[in-house]
Amino acid sequence: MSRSITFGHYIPGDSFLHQLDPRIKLIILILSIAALFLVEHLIGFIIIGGFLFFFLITSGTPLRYFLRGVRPILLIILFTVVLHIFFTKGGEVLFRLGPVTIESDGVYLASFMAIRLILLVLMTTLITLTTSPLALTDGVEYLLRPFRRLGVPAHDMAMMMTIALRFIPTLMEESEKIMKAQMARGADFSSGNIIRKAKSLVPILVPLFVSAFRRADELAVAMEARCYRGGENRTRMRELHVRWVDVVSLFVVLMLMCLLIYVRIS
Amino acid sequence: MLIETKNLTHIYMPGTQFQVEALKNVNIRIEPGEFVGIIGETGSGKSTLIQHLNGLLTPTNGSILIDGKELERSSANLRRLRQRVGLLFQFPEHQLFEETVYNDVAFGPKNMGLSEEEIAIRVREALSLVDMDFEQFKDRSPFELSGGQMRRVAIAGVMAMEPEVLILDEPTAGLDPEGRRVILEQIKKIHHQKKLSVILVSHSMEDVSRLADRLYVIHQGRIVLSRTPAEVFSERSRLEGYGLALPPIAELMQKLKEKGKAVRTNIFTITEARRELLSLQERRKGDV
Repeated sequence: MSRSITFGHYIPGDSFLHQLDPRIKLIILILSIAALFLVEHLIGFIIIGGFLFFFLITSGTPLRYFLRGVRPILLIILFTVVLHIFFTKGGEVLFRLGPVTIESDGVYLASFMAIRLILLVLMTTLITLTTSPLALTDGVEYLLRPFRRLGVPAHDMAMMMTIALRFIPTLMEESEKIMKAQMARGADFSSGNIIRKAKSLVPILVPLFVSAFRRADELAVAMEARCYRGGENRTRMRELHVRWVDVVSLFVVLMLMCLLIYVRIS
Repeated sequence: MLIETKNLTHIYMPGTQFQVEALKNVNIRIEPGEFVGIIGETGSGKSTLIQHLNGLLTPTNGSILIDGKELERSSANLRRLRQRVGLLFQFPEHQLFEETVYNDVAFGPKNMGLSEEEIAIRVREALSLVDMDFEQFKDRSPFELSGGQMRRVAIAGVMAMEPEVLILDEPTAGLDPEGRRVILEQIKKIHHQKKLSVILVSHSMEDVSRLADRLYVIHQGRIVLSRTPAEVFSERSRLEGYGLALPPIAELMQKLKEKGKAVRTNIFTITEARRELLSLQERRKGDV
């Protein structure tokens, strides 16, 4: 378990996307997600999907990693599709069984929603697969900076994100170890009804929380011992630099956005 | 209970770029009542090996034999095996979770489906095995005990299942010398009183040499030596190649011998070494 790859895990590489500035990548991601929800015609989806597919291929990451990213939300997609098919009314009636009808608007909306969600997850996975967690949090911190005037602690939030990401594998390993230790004492996690199964998690969760708190304590002491005191006047080891490619990429995406808005309004 | 492994090979995440061959063709045999040490440097495969012995890991290749019969991996079978082979992981105090010491030690027996009376008897006995006073500790929270006491409660938790084989992974890691001495004494006592087989896993030769009848040295997933401690320690240069150091006393005796002094080298305690050196002095006086 601990050695398996978690979804969205960064895979080093040197593709165009890997080299793009993380701030620009994040802005592009936000714009693209907005675009997904602006688009109302199949053509728009094909254009966005085409771009996305091009970058998926050129990112140099095996396609199965992306598929693995989609798998966890399949249930959500299915749920939305079913809801739309049965409860969105309008257009022609395609199917009737007693009081239940399936109407054409419902089918349209359902398929658009499914495409949107899948493209959304693929986009996000593409960003997390090609951006190291450190670069990502740097980007987030930078983008949050303007909000500092409103009292948003940009640096602290980014630091929290970095630490959280850093400790996911550690905690996975820890929980696996505790699980094995309890199994060695005869614990059974697989049989019984839901209540029994939930109860059987207590012997894992209690030690896991205890150790997480202990680790947090130790980390805090270690950081303080190195005089860490938040974001004020802190310099960074790796400065982010915007290059021409970044500017051009952002420009291209902005142009596409304008086009989409124009099409939508007219 | 006799445990054997036949050509045991274990590969983590086979078929991916993260593939690691942790064990290669390991053959070991633990006789009933034996005290065996498994030593090897960090990452040599010790922990992977012992997790096979109670069915927590499945071999990629090869087999595990219990009393001469190949282990069938049905879940009922594995649960019975885990009760018969008690495994104590490194830093076992991290597995404690109950509100009271009593409940935590009772976790294993409860999972075995024993009656309340039987559980009470077992908890009392297990705590006394690790020299913890039942009345004094039974209602205390395990989280307010000292590190050494927590570890002893964890050992009691495994002993309460009355295993036939006890496997301990680095039981003295992170303890002070006094804590180490106490734990090792208790392991020795448990082995003696309960007549069970003990497998002690460690990278510290000192701990193992004092207790074990026989040692397995494991290096990069292979068993490279399997003899008595004295025989193993006579291979000083080989051991150094495996990233292992002799216990300080054995090292001293070896060095004396290399200097041409007529001393025995199968000595692992200060008392024994003192006696040997004094007798050496006596013998030399006799010669003069």
